[in-house]
Amino acid sequence: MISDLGKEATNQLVRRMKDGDSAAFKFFFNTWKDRIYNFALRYSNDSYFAHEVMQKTFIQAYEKIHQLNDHSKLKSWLYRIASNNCFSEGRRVSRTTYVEVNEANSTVDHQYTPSGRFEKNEIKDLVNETLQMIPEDQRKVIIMKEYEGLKFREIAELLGESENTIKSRMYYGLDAMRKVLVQKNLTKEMYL
Amino acid sequence: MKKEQIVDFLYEEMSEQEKSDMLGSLESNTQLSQKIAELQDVRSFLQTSKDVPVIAEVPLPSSKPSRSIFQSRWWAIAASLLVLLVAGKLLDVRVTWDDQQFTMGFGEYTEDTQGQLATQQQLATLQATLVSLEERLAAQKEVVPIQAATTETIDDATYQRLLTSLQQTIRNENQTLKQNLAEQIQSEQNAHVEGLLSNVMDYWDAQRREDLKMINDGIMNLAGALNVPTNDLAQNVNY
Repeated sequence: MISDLGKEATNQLVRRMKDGDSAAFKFFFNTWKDRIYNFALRYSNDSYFAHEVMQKTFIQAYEKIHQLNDHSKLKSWLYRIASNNCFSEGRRVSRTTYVEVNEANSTVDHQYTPSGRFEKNEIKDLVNETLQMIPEDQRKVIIMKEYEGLKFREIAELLGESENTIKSRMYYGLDAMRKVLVQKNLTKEMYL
Repeated sequence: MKKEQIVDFLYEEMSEQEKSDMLGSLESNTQLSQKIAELQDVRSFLQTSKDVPVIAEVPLPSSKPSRSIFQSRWWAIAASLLVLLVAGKLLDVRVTWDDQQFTMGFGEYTEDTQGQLATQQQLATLQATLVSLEERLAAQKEVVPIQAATTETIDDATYQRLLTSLQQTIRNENQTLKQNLAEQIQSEQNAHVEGLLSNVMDYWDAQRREDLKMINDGIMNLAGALNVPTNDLAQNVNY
């Protein structure tokens, strides 16, 4: 993970990418592609959408790497691009039919296992579906915090909001998810 | 208690003092305590999918077309044709082919056809004849003093007139042959270009008809699958 590389290694990686070192960019891509894909997948619950966002994010990162002045902010810079792409791609596909297909899929009832618990893959689908049922700005914050491990300060920075606004969205987002779980009659014994 | 403080507590992004104050509040405020427990359960629910590996497949899929392939494709072909024609005109491109080969080149046309070879041979023969005649006239001039004693003489003026007349005749014939050659070349070049364009247009027309047939088949299949009148779908295909 790049955040584990340390400041100097991250700095060197960015410098090499700015110099057009394809091996450095390949390393960057291989390190981050799954994270960005997962981020977009959790945002949309649509694998095609996630691929599109990942593809655009790395193309833009490649084209705009020279605009990154503070090399230590590579991670939040990349997430900002991905976040913007989620928003723009979401607006684009909202006018197409495959979102309707996606929504139709989300209404499929999950089958309980004999023990009354969900299988791991079913839980993943259930979590992603539940995330889709809360407002976009809250969803983004929850994903960045819970799955990407960003600090509130970093999320605030990359979304261009105050830290308190981000925390407020986090609170309302978690509460909205709680209400969805209650509606679905899901208790923690079913998924823990 | 502020919502931001609750979030800070949930994610342990607070100082020891703030944490201690919060724990004190939780002991006395059961409503707050219950709220935090509920939100913690939601966090647990979210965390259940954290370890499920999701691998982004590479290579990436191609983008979905944002508009009709048919439209963009024919625009591209039309633009390419225009560029080719303009570039061909500017660069004086010539394209030729026969049973054995296909040739493309730039500049003046120099195709070696049988007719042109024959014409060139005629030109060479005429040139050789001219040289031969000049030599013979020169030799004749040299023997004139000897012949003059016995037969008629040819003076210099007569000799010059004869030579000039002969040269003019040869030049005229030469000029005519060159004009014929140029016309022949131009004619063949025009025929080749027309043939080439005709072949290209025939090919593209056939492709276009094939595409239209595929689109129509697709519409019919789609209409059948959706149980929709075909006209409703056909009006969305702009061709």
